[in-house]
Amino acid sequence: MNTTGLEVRNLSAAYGQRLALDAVSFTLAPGQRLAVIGTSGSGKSTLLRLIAGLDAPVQGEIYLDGVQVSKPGAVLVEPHDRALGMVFQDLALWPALSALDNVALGLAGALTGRTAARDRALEALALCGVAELAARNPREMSGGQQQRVALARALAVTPRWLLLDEPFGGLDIVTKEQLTRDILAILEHTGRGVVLVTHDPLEAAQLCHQVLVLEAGRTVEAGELARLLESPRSSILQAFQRILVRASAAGER
Amino acid sequence: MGGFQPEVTSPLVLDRPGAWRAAALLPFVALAAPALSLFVAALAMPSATWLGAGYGAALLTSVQVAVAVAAISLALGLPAGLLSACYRFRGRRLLLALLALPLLMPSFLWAIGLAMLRAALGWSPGGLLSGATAGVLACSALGVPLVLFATLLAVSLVTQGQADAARLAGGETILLRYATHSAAWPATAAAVFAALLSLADPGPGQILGYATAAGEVLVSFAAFYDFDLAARQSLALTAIALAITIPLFGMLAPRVEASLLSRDTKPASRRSHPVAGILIPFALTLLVSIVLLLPVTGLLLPLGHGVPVIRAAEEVSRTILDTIVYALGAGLLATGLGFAIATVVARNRSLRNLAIVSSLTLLALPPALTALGILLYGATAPAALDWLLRSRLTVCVALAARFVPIAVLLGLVSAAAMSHSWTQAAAVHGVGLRSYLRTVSLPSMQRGASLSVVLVALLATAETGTVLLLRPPGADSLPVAIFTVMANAPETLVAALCLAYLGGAVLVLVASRAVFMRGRP
Amino acid sequence: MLGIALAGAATLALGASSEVIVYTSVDDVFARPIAQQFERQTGIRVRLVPDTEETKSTGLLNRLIAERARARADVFWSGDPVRTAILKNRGVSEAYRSGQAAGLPAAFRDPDFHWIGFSARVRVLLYNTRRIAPGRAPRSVMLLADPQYRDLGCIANPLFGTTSMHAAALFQVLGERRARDFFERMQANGVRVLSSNGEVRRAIGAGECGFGVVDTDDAAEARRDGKPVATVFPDQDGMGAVVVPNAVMLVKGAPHPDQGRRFIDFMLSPATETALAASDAAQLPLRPGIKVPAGMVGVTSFHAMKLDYARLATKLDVISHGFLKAWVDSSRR
Repeated sequence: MNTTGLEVRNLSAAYGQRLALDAVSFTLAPGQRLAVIGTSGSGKSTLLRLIAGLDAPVQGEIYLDGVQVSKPGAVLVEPHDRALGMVFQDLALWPALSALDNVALGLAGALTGRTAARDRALEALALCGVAELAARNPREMSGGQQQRVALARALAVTPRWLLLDEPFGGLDIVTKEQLTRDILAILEHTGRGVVLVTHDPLEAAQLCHQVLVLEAGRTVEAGELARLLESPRSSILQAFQRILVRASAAGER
Repeated sequence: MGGFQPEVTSPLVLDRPGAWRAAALLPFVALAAPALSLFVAALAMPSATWLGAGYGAALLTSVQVAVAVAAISLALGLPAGLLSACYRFRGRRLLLALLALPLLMPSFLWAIGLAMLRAALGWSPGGLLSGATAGVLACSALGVPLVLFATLLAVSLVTQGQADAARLAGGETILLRYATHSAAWPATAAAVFAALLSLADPGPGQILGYATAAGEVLVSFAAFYDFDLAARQSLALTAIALAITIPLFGMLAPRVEASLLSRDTKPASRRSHPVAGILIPFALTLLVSIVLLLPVTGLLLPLGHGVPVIRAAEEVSRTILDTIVYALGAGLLATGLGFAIATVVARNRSLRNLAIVSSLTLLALPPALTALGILLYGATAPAALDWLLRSRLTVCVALAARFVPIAVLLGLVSAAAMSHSWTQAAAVHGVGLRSYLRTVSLPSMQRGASLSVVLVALLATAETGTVLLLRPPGADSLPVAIFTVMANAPETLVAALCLAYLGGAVLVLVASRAVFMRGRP
Repeated sequence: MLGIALAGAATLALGASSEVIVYTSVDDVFARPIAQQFERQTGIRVRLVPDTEETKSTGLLNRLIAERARARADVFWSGDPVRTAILKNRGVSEAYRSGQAAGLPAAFRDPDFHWIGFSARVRVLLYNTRRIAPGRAPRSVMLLADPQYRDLGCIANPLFGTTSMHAAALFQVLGERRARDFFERMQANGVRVLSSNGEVRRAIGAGECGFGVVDTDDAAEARRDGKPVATVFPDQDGMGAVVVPNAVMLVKGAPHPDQGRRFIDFMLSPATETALAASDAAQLPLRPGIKVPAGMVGVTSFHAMKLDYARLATKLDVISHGFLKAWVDSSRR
């Protein structure tokens, strides 16, 4: 067992009778970035929820910096005590609050002073390039701006681990490229570890060092993406490889 | 914003399963208890004539009227709602506001209006505006708008993309077919609800001269002073109402839920259409004439002989404060309780369905029995409980008990519009339950809750039976004042008071609209 | 502190003692001015709970019966003596021998002084002068069953209000067999059963019905509304017209019994009978010697039906559960 980092050991989860995640294991050193990829229903979001402590596993354990935080049937450390930041698939911005209040309320568990929280929130918004939108309500923003506010909320708590659940869904390619670039810069600047859930191997390649591919809740392959693409075993990477080949052929024509 | 002190309870309790959620059904039991205790007492009493002579025939008439009301409400309300939802036309706001008015008026006023109109027209009794036929018309005046607005609400959840896809697939016909598909179940539920209200309402039958089961209950009360017989008859009526509605709603609930509780952000915009632009205002004007202008004309005809302004103003000023206290009290209590129940059961399908069925059961209980049960509690409880059982608060509680189902349904719609991920984000960031409720949950439910307060307040104002039995001495509401003077006061005074009430309802509608539209994106 | 508390309690006690709670089945428009007069005269605040019998609510009587265990009302002022007699039978009333009762005829009160009758209405025939020429005007209630008035008559639902008392009176005076026969013939003659006396008044005023039976205050209201109607005191050469006195009773266990008794004294006083005669209610004073307004007849100037008022409630209880209920049901078919 590592005394630092994130360790997921033999993790399984179920919804009713259906097994959503089946004996998944991996270990990440501090600052490492892992992309969990898979098709819809492969169990990747479930894995993220278990790491966040939103659900308890039916089997297996999770360790954060050597401390066991989840065991079968129980969440041992509550989500807000895990030093995590999370960007949800639908962003989960609270609609009645301004961008600033969204970020500041997100600091409720970390800071006790109102002014300190606002200052930290403004810093986080500035880091993500949306300080000028602080007073605006999320519904008055574009998709990309909302994504940045959600990221600011996740980063404001200075988490050791950042959990990103398909954070670029629905964005146009220009915004997505710009946002990816900015996030990468922020991650490198802050040195945060990341677990990114996505169905897009390109996103995974841009942001993460390692890839773990899930199919029907099971780990099919794991490692560096470039190496895995040499002889992919999972359907998603096989499909990705075919796309790359076709794109390359089209480029040559 | 606030809540920076670390709090113990995580907002995840709102999402995680737990047996404690079943406690949310306890308020239903408590609210039904006054009527249930009378049922139990009545069943324990041996009686030669269990339901009384003539009850069977009256019940049959009631059921026939209820079926007719449901059918007419659906036949007129659904198409009117569909067309109003899908197309732009001149006068849309005004016509819809006029169609909302019948929802806010006591049914006995509508029946009186029709009776007066028949007399003014010189039509013979037994014709269109008398007997059960007029009763169906008076009750449909409520049913048609109810179905229309349920349809509007359901179609408003059709997204722009879905509407565009339907139009591409087959033009306006397919769009209307798709919209009908979306609205059919909520509209049917509303029609059944209207039928249920007509079953429990003795007013139209009494005034228009046909026997109804609710009228028989009234006879047992007001002519025989026989609580047990009235309770047995009410029980039979409730049983029939539930026998019809529970299986139907068991079937409808998931579909209504799917139609109404679905979450989407961008509703389809209404479109102009040359034929619809002419046809719809014409059809809606016709509908307004039938459900609103006919009875209102009848009510206001006597004003041709002069308006007793001072006398009417005295009555209004004597009753206005208590009318507002009862209305707002009932609205706030019902909404508070209804939204709390909805928040607790929202994430559990079987509890949600149970809450919907319990709501309907509560709605099917005759309000007079609940009020009578509370009266009996008040008489046997110590004086120290008078603040609860013999005060204005008692009236508010009884009215809230009657209309809490509406608050529960609106609460469920509001709760469904809140994403699971909001609580999860709060949990990850250490936002405590109290902060979460105050800063995220409540503001998100505010619009639905305000709507619920206004709706319950208006419906509670129109419910006279409960206020008649429970009002503290000297604390009448305006409808009760109308009710108690209408038999022998000059027709002009009754008409003037009705006009004042109608004016008040219009004011509330206009004010509510202004509040709801403020800050809307 | 104690002084303040005692002063507060005294104020509360004083506040509570300066009011009287009156439930009344008399129409609000008539009852309220009388209550206001009492307030002016005595300084005791009247909290009025009106609920007219005409509208057939589930209201007052049920409320009084349900509140029996711990009464809330002090006085019940009824528009007719049958309701007070019903309440006596249910143990809701308390005897009170008011000093003012002495001047009122003994026929119109409970022998044990549980209720006392005063100012009265009379059951009269109201007819539409455009549909029935004054020369053909009906002179007897029994003509409702006469074929020459076929399909012209209307009455209020005899299960409710003063019409129910009228029905009980007919059963008492005519006897069971003749009364049943009359009701059956009335039905066969096309008499319409409407929801209330107010409806009967309206239907006759509008000409929907030719004639019917209403109370004197209904008739007065129709005349004030300018309807083409005229009134006949029925059966003046036979059984007489039914007199419907108001009745007032002290509620058993009343929270303010002294104020209740003062209110009853006030109601039974000559001044109140005079005021009710002069008001739109047009009530006939029962006390001899009270001056009535021009155009109003005194209670001694017509032939009144001889009734045992104390026993009408029992009669009504029997017939309304049996014959009358069935009769009303069949009238609707």
